[in-house]
Amino acid sequence: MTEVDSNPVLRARLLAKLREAHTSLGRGMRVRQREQGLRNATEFAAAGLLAVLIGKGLVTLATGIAGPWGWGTSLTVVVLGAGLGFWRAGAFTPLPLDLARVAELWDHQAKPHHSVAAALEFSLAPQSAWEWATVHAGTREAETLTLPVVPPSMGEPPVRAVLGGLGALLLAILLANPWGSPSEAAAKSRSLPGMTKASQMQPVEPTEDSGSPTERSVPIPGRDDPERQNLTQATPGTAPTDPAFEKSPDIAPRPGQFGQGTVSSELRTGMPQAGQGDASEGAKTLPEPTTKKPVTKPRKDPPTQTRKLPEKGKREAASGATVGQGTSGGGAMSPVKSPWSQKDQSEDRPLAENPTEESVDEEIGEEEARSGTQPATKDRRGATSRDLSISGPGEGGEGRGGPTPQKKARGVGSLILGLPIPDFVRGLLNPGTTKVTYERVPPLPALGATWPAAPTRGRSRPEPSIDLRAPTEARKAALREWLLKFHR
Amino acid sequence: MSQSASPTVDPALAHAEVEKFRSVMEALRQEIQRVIVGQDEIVMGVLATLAADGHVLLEGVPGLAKTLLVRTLADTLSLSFSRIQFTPDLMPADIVGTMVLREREAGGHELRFEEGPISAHIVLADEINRATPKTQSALLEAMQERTVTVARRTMPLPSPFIVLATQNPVEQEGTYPLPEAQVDRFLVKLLVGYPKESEYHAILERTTGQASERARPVADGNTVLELRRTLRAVPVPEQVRTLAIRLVRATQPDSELAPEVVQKCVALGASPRGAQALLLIAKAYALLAGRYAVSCEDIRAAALPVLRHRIVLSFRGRSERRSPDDIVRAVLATIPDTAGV
Repeated sequence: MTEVDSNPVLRARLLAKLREAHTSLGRGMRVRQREQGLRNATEFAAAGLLAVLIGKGLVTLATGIAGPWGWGTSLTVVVLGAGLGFWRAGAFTPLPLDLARVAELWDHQAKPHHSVAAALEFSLAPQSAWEWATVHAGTREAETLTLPVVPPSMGEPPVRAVLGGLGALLLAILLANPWGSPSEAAAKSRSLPGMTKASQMQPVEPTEDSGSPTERSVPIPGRDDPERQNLTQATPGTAPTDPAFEKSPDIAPRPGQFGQGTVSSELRTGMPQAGQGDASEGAKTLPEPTTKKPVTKPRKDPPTQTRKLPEKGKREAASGATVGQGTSGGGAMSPVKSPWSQKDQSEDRPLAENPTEESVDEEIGEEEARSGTQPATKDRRGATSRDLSISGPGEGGEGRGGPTPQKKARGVGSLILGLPIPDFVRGLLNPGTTKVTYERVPPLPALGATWPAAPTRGRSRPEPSIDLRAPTEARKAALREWLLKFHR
Repeated sequence: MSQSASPTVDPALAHAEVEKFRSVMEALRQEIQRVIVGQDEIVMGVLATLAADGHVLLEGVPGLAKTLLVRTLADTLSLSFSRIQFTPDLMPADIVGTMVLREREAGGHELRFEEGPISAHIVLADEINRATPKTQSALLEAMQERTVTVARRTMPLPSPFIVLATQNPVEQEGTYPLPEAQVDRFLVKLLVGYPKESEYHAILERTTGQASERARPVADGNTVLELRRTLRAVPVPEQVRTLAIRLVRATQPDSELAPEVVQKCVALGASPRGAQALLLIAKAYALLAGRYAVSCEDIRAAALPVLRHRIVLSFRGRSERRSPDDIVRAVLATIPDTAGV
């Protein structure tokens, strides 16, 4: 540090070295781009080919048709995947490299003892001995060290690569279309043994309300026409019902019907089912079922616990203020008179909108039958307050029983019947922390797409009975152990 | 190097100052290591904070030589030292001092200020979280302004002045967590861990024999002040300053730089005082490494001790058992150097 160069000389030396590094870095970026394109192309093509093979295998498993498969789809997917990989590599935009960025890369990769970027910055106009020293040291190191020609990352973190691969896989599956078109499938089905040709099927005159097969397979909400149900009802045991189609909203099962998904699945897939002939014809020639299973109607179900209640019990269940019965049946009215419950369960809401208020609905129907002269809501009052406050005489008249004693907190583990769990009311969140931070967290709407409103229908099956038996000792012990661990 | 010019300042001066800084710090470290076995990072953190004109909060379970480290540091410096054992019944007047009625020789009485133990160069606040927040707050003015105010009189504290506080993280019954304003005044929070197995041998050999090592003074107050002047002169490049700012802002849950874990688990992030502390400790690290300017790696090395106690976890963060160190590590992983590399 005895000889001192002037500032312009030092800066010129530093800039020359940085330009040299800039050139080598740019060359390295282009090399990496090509390598990335090749790797992407290979991976995407392999993923597409794999998807095609998996799709064919699934079709074979589902239908028993083992081919022969043409290679047209596979080749298309491979070529498309390779092209997509190159396209993604071409979409990489190499980082703009100026000299300051090259200096920072130098510091990041070569990790010199003295910062080259700081030397470049201070070389403009060094103000103090420290800045001079920084410029000297940085320049000297830039001249002695060699910047590893490793270009900066071009924005291909592993997550994005995986997402890209998954996207390509999805695209490949869609393009592969392992089920093929209905005409191709029908053509293949003619060559298979045991299949009935469509021309051999007896034509059946369509019924008067029969439209297209797709229209008929879609149940219309709110209609309970038994004939329509019989038309769309298939013969039991003709083919296994595809659960995926059962879950489909447009072909949802109707109440009391079993196995009606067969027709829908035929129509959707276009693939013939064994022993049923052509799909389109099969839809038109819906045969009468030989053995009809009893159709269970929701209205005629065995009466649930709510319906067993007497008139007084109905009102109590509706208010949710039952004593000693729990709230398993739910209440039509809010059990707690709080702002949130008032927003969610308003008393002035039309009762018919709630599907759980069947008893009230029937009651209204009875009142209307009697000319509607007797109001059905004469005994309705606000629900009993369960706020944790002393219900004193000042409030008064809240609930049918008058002022009630102070309510206790609910929902702690100790209130589970038969479980000797101590209440962990310690005020400590973690062992070793004596400070509790309170936060006011506003309610946030749930993320995701909103579900469209749809008319509700009755249950297709009887409501399950509630098991009110006391838990076994083993269950009690397991639950208690879990709760204790949870509190710890 | 043939072309010589006449620069305004000779870079050799900076070189000399760096070498002097390193030699003094190395002498202090060696002297402390004669008594303290291992804990290199803790020792260097304390020395860096001493040079950065800050205060240290040492946290660790009992028996890890926290108090011994502070006493040894006081031994290596020819400075006054006082130890305050914080207890629940300690009062602010017990720390800062009080006015005492005294008899004059000439007759009559007068009120005179009796200095408290805070009036020393090196103050050990032992088990600081055992005193009430009222008493803990007595240190606020002393630590920030280096003065104490009693009975409308403000008196400066000796310089250099450093507070080294200890607390242990497990015994929380009957303790009082430090208020955020108090914690923020500590430049660094160092977590003292258990020694390695090899270090146990040396510890037992040194502490269970007849002879016990004691550190000798190798520096005085003027040397410490000179170290501080040297540290303040270290320049910070724009890129490094930007990184420090972005790191601090990323700890704030409302910032657009905050990673997801910060947004969910942090209630309060670091303040501008945190950025100041980050740069000061980074300067000390740069000097200790023999550099003339602060680099990004110095900032990253200083992030954990400087930022961990300035982050207040939210309820969710506590319930997910996150630690402030997790948050700082997530911030370090998220925020790149300015180059985006």
